[in-house]
Parts: sequence; C-alpha cells; structure tokens
Amino acid sequence: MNDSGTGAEFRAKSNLTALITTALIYPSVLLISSMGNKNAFELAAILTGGVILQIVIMIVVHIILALGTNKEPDDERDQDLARRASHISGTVLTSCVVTVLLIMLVRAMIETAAQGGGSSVDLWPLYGIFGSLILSELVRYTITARGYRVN
Amino acid sequence: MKATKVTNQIRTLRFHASEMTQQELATRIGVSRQTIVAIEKAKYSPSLELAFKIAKVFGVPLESVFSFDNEDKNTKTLQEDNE
Repeated sequence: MNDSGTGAEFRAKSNLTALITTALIYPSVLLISSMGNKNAFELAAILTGGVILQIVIMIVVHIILALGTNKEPDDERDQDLARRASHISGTVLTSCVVTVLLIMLVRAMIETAAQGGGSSVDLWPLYGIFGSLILSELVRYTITARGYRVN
Repeated sequence: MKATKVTNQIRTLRFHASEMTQQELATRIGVSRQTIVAIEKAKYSPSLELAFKIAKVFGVPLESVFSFDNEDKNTKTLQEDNE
C-alpha cells in the first residue's frame, strides 16, 4: 500500500499561509499606527498597505502552491472544518465587539458627564456596531428557527 | 482533533482489495486523500452518506467497515430495557 504523503494539501497550506500573514502583518499595522500622532488619512494608508501586502503575499503563495500541489475540490471534511472554525471565530468576534462597544459607551458616558450633560460625543459608531450585532443575531436565530422546522 | 468513537477497518479492507491506495479510495468516493487518512486514524467521523459509499466500494455491509465504541451507560438496548 503506497500511501506515503508528501505533506498537507493545498487548502491546509493556504490556511497556514493566511494564519502566518495575519499574525504578522496586522499586529505590525496596529503597532505602527499607534506610534506617534497619526491622523485619519495616515491610519487609512497604513491599514490599506497592510491589507494589500497580505493580498499580494497570498496570491504569490497560492501560485507557488498551485504549481506544486494537487488542489482537490472541497469535501465534507473541509466544509466541516470551515464551519467549526467559522463558529468559533464568530464567537470570538462577537465577544470582542461587545467589549469594545461597552468601552465606547462607558467612555462616551464619562465624556458627557465631564461636559456637564451636554454631548459633543459622536455616537454613530456605537449605533453602527450595535446595529450590526443585532442584525447578526437576528440572522442566527432566523436560520436556527428555519432549521428546526421539519415540515 | 480528538479521536472519534467510531472506529473502522478501512485500512485492512484496502489491503485485501488488491492493496487499494488511499488516493484510489478517495477518488472513488469523491473526497480528498487527507479525508481518507483522517477517517482511518479515527480523527474524523464520515457522514452516513460517505460511510455507505465506502462500504459500497468494498462490497461489504456498513457494520463490517465501521464500529461504534459506546461507553455511554445511559444508552440501553431494547433487550436491557426489558430485563
């Protein structure tokens, strides 16, 4: 039985590349953007640069992988892995977003109190994030409700 | 990934099927070789559909390919219920 493997398949290597580039690029982007007083344009430029760098690296790596590895179509195990990863990462995202939302709200409350009740605090990001969370929860419950229907 | 409770005889069945390779089996049932590797190592439980396809390739009943190690004492058979 000749079953010697030559390593992880295309999808596994692609995933590993995405993991490494995300772990290296975006913390660097955060570090660079937090150094000194950056205005919004500079922040946008740094973030855009980070995104473009990751895209370019991913394209190059995918080309190299495609030349040297057989890419097989998604099967049920790939879909199962993707679903599980998506579920866990979604939970992490929701937790982080709620934490940031609470911090923003508390900060806004402190600033409002410091200004004697008058408010010059821009609350639209808060509404935007909160609205997005509500929408995602509605989608989740709707999909679950449909799944429970057997008729 | 932790091991599943579903074990299998796929490696043995492949050997007796003219030493069929994992890639050949994967191609026949439409999955990747890595999936066959994961199933053989009991790292992944295939769907019922996939399990039936594997059994069909070897021309044997499903229970000749897969077995379930049920340590859950809450699960009783009908026989145990009637005793």
